[in-house]
Amino acid sequence: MKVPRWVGRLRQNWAPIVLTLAVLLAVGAGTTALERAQPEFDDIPIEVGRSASVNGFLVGVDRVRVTRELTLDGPGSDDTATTENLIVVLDVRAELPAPSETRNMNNVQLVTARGVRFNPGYDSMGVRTDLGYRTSGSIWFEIPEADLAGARVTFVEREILISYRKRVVVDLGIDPATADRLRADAAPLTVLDEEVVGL
Amino acid sequence: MLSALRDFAGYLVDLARDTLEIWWALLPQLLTIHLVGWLGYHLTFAVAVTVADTQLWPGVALFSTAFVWVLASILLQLRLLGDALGVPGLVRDTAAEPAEGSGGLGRLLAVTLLPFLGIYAAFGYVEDAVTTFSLTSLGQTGVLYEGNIFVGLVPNSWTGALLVLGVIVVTYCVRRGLDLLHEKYEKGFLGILAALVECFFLLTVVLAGSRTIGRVQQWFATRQFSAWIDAFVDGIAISLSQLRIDLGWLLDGWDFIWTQILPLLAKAVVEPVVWLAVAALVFGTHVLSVADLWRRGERPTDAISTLTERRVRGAGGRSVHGRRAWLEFQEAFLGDVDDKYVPTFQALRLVLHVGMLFLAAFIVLHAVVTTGQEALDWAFTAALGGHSYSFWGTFRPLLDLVGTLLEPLRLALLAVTFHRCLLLLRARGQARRLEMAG
Repeated sequence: MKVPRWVGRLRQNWAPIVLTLAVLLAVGAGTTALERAQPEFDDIPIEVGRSASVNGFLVGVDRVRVTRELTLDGPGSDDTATTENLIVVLDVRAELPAPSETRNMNNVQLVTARGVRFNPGYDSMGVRTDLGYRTSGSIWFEIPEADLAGARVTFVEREILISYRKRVVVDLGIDPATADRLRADAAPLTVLDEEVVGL
Repeated sequence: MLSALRDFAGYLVDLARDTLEIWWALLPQLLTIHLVGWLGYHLTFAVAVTVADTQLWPGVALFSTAFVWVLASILLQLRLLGDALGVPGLVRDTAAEPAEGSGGLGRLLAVTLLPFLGIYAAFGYVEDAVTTFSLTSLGQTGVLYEGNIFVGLVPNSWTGALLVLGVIVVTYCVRRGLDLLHEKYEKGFLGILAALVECFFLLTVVLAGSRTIGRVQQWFATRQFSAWIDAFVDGIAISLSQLRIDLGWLLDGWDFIWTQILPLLAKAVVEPVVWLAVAALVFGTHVLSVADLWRRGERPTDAISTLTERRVRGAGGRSVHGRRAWLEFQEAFLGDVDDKYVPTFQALRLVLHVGMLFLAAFIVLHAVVTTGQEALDWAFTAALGGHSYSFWGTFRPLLDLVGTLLEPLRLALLAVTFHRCLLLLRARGQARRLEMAG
């Protein structure tokens, strides 16, 4: 039986073909991976009790509490939420001591140790304030019990046009032992509406 | 396999060494041209954004002019590199007629605009520029303003659509007219004017075309007919499931190839190869013709004699007037095919014929340089730290400059690779002739 010409050619040139294909796939995969690896944020890591400055806008978490029953006590509202999961409640502070373009760090998320992101509860405080004021209040997230240890909270300025920007990353300092203690101590909590005071 | 690896490594080392040498030798000239191109692009871009707030078509015209600055800078750098490498001499040594050169910057721009904008459109650079344009416009005018002026290129009304079509047709006619005038009077400014009109024409077609396709797809997705097709596919899926064939799995596989593998290969392989074809075009269609003769193992001088004989024979038996009228018609309406599409196709065919390992080595080096550009851009961004959009809006041109500082190195790689391409094809042609003679 006569072997087609292209089969003969393929037999002769298999090494360059295989090598070229391998090189091209490696180049494609490498360049795509590098493109995707470019970070979107300039992270500022802080701990609970400290604050970070983003263009002069100060934000920080002062306290971390955990509950399964949360009551919001504000003007005209007295809602109570209960859950089988956990509600992580953060006392957050936002200050603007000097003029700045940044007026909020309102894009807030809780990131678990395994990388799952949770948005805050609907009635949580807005992390924003005006020049010369401090706004304090509470932000809460409902998360599965197993995700408490190693959780972090991120604050990013909410902009319409986004770019490479600063992100405050607060390590909530919850190691497995602390997580067990917080879970055991979880008692009903009441949070007040946000408070605005002059600096 | 070992021999293939050795060949590949040899190509890699040769190309890298020659590229670095020529880049270093011409760095001051290359950087000067690059800086002029960068300045021209950003100045025109800034004016275009301001104008576009109130006037669509002047805005689009200035936007397209900005691209001509980039292309002119690339072309001049490639010509400089090609001359330094001796590409014109390489052809002159073997051809009977003198190298035609490029016919000036205008002619060169006109010939290379098509593949250049083809690359820019196909690999998302035009869309990126449109996004930057819209965002900059939004930054200037505020979010309540209708920021994206390019929406105007696909109007909702029939009158608006006819206007866009009219602009495209008139621009095409003006461009062909300028081309013909340029060929007749050979004035440099006519060539540059033709290139500017050509860029406006191509960008309008690309922008209006891509948005029209998007709108048609959107229209189609909301029709009852689209639901019928979905129902038909569901029916096939049910029938195939009886045969234990999972259509969902097949469609997922197809989707993976279409959305992951193909873009990956296009970015890594097709883009550098098309850039190489642009470099080939810069050295003139004459170079391409000679290189093609080498590829086929023919001597350029023999080919020219054969062509002259054929022309003389052909002219003998026909009406000169009739033939001339036909040629005039061809030139006026089909001149684009000869001038731009054929050379682009020819350039692509040539670079694909030099050998797989050679092309693979070039693609690896191209990836190294472009990744270096991105790394430089990223390092500078990281050094400046995170900022709000207004900061980046102000410093974007500076950031672009840093990110493209390695562009002359990439162009040096293109020129060196094409030069090597020519040498390889010439050697191959000589070997084939010897083989045939022996």
